[in-house]
Amino acid sequence: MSTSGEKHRQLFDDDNFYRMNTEVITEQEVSPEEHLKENSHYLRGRIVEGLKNPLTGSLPPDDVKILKFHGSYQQQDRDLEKERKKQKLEPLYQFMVRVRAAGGVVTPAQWLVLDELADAYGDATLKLTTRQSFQFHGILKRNLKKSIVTINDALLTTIAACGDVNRNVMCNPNPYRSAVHEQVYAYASRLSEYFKPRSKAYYEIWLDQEKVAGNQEEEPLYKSRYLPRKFKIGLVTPPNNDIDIFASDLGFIVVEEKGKLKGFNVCVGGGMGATFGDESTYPRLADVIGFIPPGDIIRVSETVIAIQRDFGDRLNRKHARIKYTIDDRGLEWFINELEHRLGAELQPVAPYHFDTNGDQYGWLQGINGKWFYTLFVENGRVRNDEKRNLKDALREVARVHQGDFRLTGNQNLIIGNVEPENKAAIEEVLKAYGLPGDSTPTGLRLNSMACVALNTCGLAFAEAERYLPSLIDKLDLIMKDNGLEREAITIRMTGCPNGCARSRLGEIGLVGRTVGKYNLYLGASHNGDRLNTLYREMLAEADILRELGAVIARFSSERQSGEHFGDFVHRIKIV
Amino acid sequence: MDWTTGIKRGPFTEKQTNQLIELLPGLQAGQVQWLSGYLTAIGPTPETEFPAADTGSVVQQPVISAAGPIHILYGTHTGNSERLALESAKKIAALGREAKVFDMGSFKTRDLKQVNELLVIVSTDGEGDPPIQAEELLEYLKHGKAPELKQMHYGVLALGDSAYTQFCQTGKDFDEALEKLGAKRMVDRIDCDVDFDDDYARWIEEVLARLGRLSVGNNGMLIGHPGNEAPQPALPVSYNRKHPFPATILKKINLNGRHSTKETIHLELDLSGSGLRYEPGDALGIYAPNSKRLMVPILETLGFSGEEMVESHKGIKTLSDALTMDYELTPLTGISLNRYAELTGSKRLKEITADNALVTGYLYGRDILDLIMEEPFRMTPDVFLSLLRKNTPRMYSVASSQDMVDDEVHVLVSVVRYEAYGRAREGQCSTFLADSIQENDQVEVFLDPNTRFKLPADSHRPIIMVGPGTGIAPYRAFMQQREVMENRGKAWLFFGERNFTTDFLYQTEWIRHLKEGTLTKADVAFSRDQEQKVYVQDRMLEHGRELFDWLEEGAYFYLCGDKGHMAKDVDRTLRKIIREYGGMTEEKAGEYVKQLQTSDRYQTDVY
Repeated sequence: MSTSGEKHRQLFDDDNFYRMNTEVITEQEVSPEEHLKENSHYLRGRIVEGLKNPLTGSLPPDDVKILKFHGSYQQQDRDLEKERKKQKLEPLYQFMVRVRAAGGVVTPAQWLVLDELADAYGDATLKLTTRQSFQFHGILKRNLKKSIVTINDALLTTIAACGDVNRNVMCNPNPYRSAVHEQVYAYASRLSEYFKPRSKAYYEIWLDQEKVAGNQEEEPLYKSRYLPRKFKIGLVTPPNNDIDIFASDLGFIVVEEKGKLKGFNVCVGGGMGATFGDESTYPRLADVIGFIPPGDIIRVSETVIAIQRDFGDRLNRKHARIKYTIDDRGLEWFINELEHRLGAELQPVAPYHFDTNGDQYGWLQGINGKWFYTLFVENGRVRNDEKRNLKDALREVARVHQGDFRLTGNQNLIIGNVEPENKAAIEEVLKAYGLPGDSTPTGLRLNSMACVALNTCGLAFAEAERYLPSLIDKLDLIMKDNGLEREAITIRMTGCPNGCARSRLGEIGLVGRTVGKYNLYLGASHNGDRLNTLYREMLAEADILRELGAVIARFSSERQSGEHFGDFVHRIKIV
Repeated sequence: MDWTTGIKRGPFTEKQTNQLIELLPGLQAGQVQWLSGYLTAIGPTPETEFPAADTGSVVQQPVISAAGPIHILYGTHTGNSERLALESAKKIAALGREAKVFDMGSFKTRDLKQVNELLVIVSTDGEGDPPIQAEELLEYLKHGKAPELKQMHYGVLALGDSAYTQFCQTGKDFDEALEKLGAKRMVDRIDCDVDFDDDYARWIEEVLARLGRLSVGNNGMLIGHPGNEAPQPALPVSYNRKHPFPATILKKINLNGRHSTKETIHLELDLSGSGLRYEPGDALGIYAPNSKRLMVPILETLGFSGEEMVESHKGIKTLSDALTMDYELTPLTGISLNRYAELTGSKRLKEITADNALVTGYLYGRDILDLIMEEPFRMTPDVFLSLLRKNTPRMYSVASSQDMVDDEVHVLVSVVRYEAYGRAREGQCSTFLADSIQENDQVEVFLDPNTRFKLPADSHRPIIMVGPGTGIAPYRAFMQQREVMENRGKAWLFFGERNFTTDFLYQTEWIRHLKEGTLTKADVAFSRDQEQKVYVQDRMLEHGRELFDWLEEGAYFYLCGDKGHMAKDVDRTLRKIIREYGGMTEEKAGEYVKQLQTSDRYQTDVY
């Protein structure tokens, strides 16, 4: 790639830009999903009719796919599948509803609405996702519309939280870099808005807005088939990489100069998903390809998306993310195409450095003088349980809180922008509810993540969220025996290789193969710039404890000063 | 009267008459008894087939009696009266008399004056109401312009359920009305409880004796006699209410999903080897023992050990066994209450039994244990048994068609558990099936035909099926039967329950029937899924126009399920729809409904 910054750049040559970004899709063989999207009348399908059918709690299969663009997945309670079949009842269909909010920032008032919605129509829990979204689970079809209305009434949305479009834009919460954060967050919001589908289908179906005749609509960027696959953008301010920027399709790494935003390093081609037994699929980290000034962020993003729209694989959905487009044609081709379409070259990558992809817990004061409390939320699940009433606690916090809430990319929660005089009130509520807990979680637990998996995710082969806490109980005993109970080692578990909890970026990664069996991966970096490597396959719990026990024991005795677990396993060459 | 006169009046040639007069005096009493029972039981012989007997209206004998035909009028709810009427006609025909069987709803009242011999077989609906078809005739006899009927000899067989206060009320009403009009009782009325076989046998035997002037033994329809030397005809074993078949439970499934407030059990039973056949709309009777949870406190309250030997209606056994198997402990019947009131002389009970409204209120939710706890009285085990009604089977609409399931029969059982007067109550049979029976166990069953709830003979006719709760059971059978038919008519289901997620009985099957076209439409109402409760009648009303159109196209309307509120609400709604969309007055709509009923296009099976 050219790294010459001398060339006169013409990023704002509109004629050129639109010519390049409206390339006609050539007719070729495509997957059925492509036809489905094209024939959906811009994401309408027959969702309205399906919602009205009182005989089933499900939507027809085609509409289930279109529904994703509206921010909801049809799921079922897999625990009850066999039982209900015998009872001559259909599966217990239910809907996951994902609320997107750029950078995962919501107001206390919005929190209260979501909290109440979880009780009214969901399973009385809120799932804070690894991409800074809220998820409701267990919403029945008859309550789906009411739920989406409630979310929109709170000035939040679910549109394009899923589907073959740009999804929620991530932006790390940056508690101690609040000045830059304001600016970066503003860009995240702009990207988020800008890349929403233009179709009015969402507003017609859920918000009863007036119908638009189908042929009057168009999607200037996405076109009638939308993207070949989902698309994820993130913005990150070093040295924290808590959103795992290298897992993004498109990432922007903040470059600061004297406390001011100078621009972004651009990275492309990240993605966690893979399919067991299909070697053409694999997790991949994004490549950093150049630097851009802040004002170019929309145009660069739009161009990257357009390239993926035009060249992404529309025949094989398992091979349709931008990472494959890049690998199939080469990174150089991609950069050339991008620069060609932009009519200018990217500037050379500016130096950057990441310390960690974990969160820093407890109180921190931002440079704006306000306080930020990062609360550990195990696997992002906000609920009341036998241990503590976390959901009640956060509702109480929301009632007294005047700042904001920020979801982290690690499924945790920041009670943000607390005025110094309000800090005591927040602390009091947390204390009243026993938070962060009688025994502070161990280093391993504080750095753990798990996806939803069973019983609601249709993709899961094995447990994740419901199982990881108890596995950590057992691993903690080993860690304690080795004097490592405070050691921050990232451990991530997913129920399938699609990797929602970015299991392939854990220093310890566990990926479900079948119920009770996991592949064990070791050696990702502690800051998210190196994937882990397969260490052992098909391990049951006893095998996991034995295998990990041995490595942890060696780590305890052989590690070098300050050496992270992920780096250690590479140094001793066991992966 | 000389016994030979009867023979001479009979439908015999002179030669036959002489042969009989010669033969009969030589027979021993036992032989006469056997012969009469035998002739009654076998019905028409091949040579003298009565073609009308199977289709049900007129049973004819070639030789017509001078006395004119015997009219048998039935008013039925489940078809029991109709069945007994047809059976009676056969027996009468076997005596050589002509018998005509009429549904009360289609009998022309002006013909009454010509009737010399009348038999009335009528059931009572719930709280003393006549069955729909009997309403008009009874009204006519009681308050109408009925002529004097002095020419008439009549007999009434009343069917009922002693669990209800107004036991056999309709039969009593007919009996009284006919008497007032001057008709003469040829036999005393017999009031039959749900277990009516023996009482019917007794009644028809008396009727036959009166009609044929032939002495018929005590056992009437029973064949043979112990110690009788005459050869016994080999008749096939047939299972019935008196001789239930031990059916193996093949499958037992609670159809309600987790966290449901309901418990509804789908049972699949094996009838192989029983020879039992049934049709959709029929019912399966199941016998269940009483639960120890009820029997033990009864024994304790009365101070019995349970080991006392007693004579139950089924022989000598221990009191525990008798109470477990032979008698009904729940619900409390009006008869038990009356007997106990007399026995104890309790002032309070006497006050109650003197007032029907109080009786109804008292019986509601109570069982025999409540009675003996509230009004303690020392008695012997035998006296206690004399208070009780025989154990009666529980009837469940069959939920299967033999066209589909062959030798199986499926039923749907709603498990009854509730609390009343400080104690947990359990439905006798439903909790037995829910708690004590597993797959591969056997239960005693028989089939109870219901001619009043049948698919249209013409399979092209549209059908509208309203059946909330377990009322849906017969429609599953209907769909199974229609599934194998080609060119079937449209079908529309209305179903209701509490919650969609857990209580949509047979959900996957209805969805499949819709997909495959056996079912054309389905509308559902789940009352507790939203703040405002909705019921099947609300859904009917929402689709009133279309529903009326279906009726106009000749649709059959079926209603099955709870007779308390639902049946009345649905009936009211149906009339409203007919008024509204047919542009009819209330009276006209009433006639429309009446027309539906008399043409069998409005069939109900409510309980």
